[in-house]
Amino acid sequence: MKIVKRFTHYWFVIVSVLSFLAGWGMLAHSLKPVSTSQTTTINTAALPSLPLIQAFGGGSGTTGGLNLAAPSNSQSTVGLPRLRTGGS
Amino acid sequence: METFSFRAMNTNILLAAQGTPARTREGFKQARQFIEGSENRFTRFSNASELSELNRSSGTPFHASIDMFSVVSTAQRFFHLTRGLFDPSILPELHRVGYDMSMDRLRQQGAAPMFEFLVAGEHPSFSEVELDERRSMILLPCGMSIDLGGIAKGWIAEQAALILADFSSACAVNAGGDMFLIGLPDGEGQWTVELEDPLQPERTLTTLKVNPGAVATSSVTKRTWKQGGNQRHHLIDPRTGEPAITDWLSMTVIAAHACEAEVFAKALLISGPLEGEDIARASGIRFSYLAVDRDLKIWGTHKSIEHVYVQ
Repeated sequence: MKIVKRFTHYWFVIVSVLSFLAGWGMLAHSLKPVSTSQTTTINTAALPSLPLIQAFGGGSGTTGGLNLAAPSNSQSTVGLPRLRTGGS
Repeated sequence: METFSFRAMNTNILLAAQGTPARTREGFKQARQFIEGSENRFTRFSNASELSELNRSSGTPFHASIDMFSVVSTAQRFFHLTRGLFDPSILPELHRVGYDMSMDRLRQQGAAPMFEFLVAGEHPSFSEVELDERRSMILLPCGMSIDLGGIAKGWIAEQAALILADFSSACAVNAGGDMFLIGLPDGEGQWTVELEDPLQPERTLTTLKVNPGAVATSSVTKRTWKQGGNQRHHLIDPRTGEPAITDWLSMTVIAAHACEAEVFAKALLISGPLEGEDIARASGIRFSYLAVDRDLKIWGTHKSIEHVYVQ
């Protein structure tokens, strides 16, 4: 009876230690969660520039009773310029 | 990219630059000032221009600005390289066939007056122009007057692009199809240039992929007018004194510099296929060219076909 009790005692100790080590190993080799402090770069397309209001009003400078200032120049933003060649 | 367009040199000018709006705005302003100032210098349609002064001085030495001397000496070099097919001294012939006012005015008027009774006169060769670089003097032979239209436009486009490049990482100046490109737009390996259909300019014949440098096209379907019932165009064949009769509708040249592209586009269009190949090879200048024939077929060397983008 005394032998059985001692065997059971050692058995529980050994199984507990092995289970603990197995769990530690599994956690150590598992996939890491993405750090929340890590920054990621997202490429976004440039928003097209808004059309001039004059485009809706015939470019006369007056639309629906509103006096619109004439554009000082024709600078605009595009993705890539449309380059055409064909003689002039 | 930021773009800015306006009209100068009787054509549409498009400036494009990559950079902040404030920097590119300043670049556009300076490039535009340069283009408009240069137009006033090189135009033959204003009596007050330096070119008109030079033409009036024929027979006596003329003290030229650095820019004028640079363009005239470059023109003389290309006169020799193209065996005289590029010849700025054909101005009397241009007048004779009716191109004696700006193309904008000529188009408004609809037709040029008839001067058919005038015959092409003998005039001194452009090779006889004397240049003194040290004193910046030009001596046109007696009776010679010159037109620097195309070569000056190319030169102006390249110089304007160099000004714009001080304000941007990549930029383009397109003067009515003659363009100079510096750098590359972000994310692009080459510039994309649409080649117009010579018969329907609003239609794109094909798309070209080109490296930084120059692109120019000459066409017999642009700058045309009627004279006495005859269709005329502005590309004079110096060998006949008449608008060139050629197999090509248009000729596009891709080169390192705008003057090269402009001059060889004109010379190869006038020469036709056989002599054109010979002139291109003998010039010693590296460039590619694409010609469009009357059936809208595109012709070119193996090297130039590499520029054609097949979708």
